[in-house]
Amino acid sequence: MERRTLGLIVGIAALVVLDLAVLRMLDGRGVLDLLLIAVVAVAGRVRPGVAALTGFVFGLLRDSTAPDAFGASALALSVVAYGVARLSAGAFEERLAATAAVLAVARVVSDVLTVLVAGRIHGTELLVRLVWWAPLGAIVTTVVGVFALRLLPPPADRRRGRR
Amino acid sequence: MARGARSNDRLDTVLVVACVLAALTLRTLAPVRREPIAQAVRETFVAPLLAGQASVTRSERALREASALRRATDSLTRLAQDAVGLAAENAALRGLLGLAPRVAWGYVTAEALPASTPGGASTRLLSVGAQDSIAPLSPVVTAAGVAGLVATVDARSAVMLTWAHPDFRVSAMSADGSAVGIVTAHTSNRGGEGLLELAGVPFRTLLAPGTAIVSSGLGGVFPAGVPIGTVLRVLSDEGGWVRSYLLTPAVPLPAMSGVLVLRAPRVAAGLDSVWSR
Repeated sequence: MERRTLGLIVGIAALVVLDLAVLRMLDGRGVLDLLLIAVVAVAGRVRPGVAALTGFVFGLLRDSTAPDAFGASALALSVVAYGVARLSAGAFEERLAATAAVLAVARVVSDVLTVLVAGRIHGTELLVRLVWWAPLGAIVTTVVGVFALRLLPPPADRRRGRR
Repeated sequence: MARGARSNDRLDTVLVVACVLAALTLRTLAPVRREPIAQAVRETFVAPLLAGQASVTRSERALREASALRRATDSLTRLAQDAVGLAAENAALRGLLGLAPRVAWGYVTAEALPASTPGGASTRLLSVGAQDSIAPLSPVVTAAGVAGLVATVDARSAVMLTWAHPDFRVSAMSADGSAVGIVTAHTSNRGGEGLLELAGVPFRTLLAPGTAIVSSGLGGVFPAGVPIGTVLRVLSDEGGWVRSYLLTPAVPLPAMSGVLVLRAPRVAAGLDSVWSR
């Protein structure tokens, strides 16, 4: 296996494990979303259909820990992964501002979709989630995501462009 | 070449539509059908991570409790040196260290890990499962009182409904036994999230703010005498027949990390003396 591919797999696996195993304990409200960063990283490197499938599988892992909202994260991450892969084709990682914009939009869309599809919160709690926690989550996830994506091996197209 | 690209585009569209349809199907499945799927995913992929997470949580709590334990150890050392009234003092120190010595038997300690899905705050993933002899509807308590109950059990983990879950119910009474009712999570668009509601209290029985509410033992899920919360204010008086009260929960959600899951024989034996001290 190519060294670059191995590095990518290890990086993505680390993000998933950290999100599912450690982050939940430190961050009960899910402000930082490492799973979404992993999905965006994959989406920037594969075809849209494969990206959607990856988002679905990662979302299912998260959903299994909250059976009340089972399917909500799978749907949200599938749509986000497909959208990122379709619109950007990996090009967003070349520029810092584009990377940040993609991560922020992906996080807000994912949060809104998950909350609406899960349908577990209503009224003021829903308003607070959408108006306060979703934008805050987008900022935190974007800051961490920009650094995380820089640490992962670049997409193949970008690498060829540098040569 | 163009035909190949079109074919790939079609495949992508088919995949994303399949994923969305599959997710929507899972979302709309009845709990009894979706739980085996969630259980299979949890047991295959998440359980190994959960073991690591539980040990990190335990380490974090151990660090937090280090100073209290150090004080307890110092006191025990002094007691050992004095060798006077050792048994009584030792019991007092054990009381400081938590609920477990009071419950004594028929329980298992667990980490209650919050779900990371937005809106999933009313459930917790427990770090114990069927191999620890817990079963669905096992009560979950902390030193402060009722935390929730076990909904589903896997081999090495379980899903717990906290008291904030819409499906959570516990039959309750005032500590002096003068009023009985059913406690549920309080849900309202006018605020008050994070509170409980005591419904069905006879109109003639008026509960003053601050009155302690405990489980009544009716229904057999929770043993009698476990603190649920304290009365905050009257919520409504429906037609002059019954009143509902708003309660402050005994166990705040953020404080719910280390819990005890009670096994059936312990529930049957009762816990009257545990919280009445």
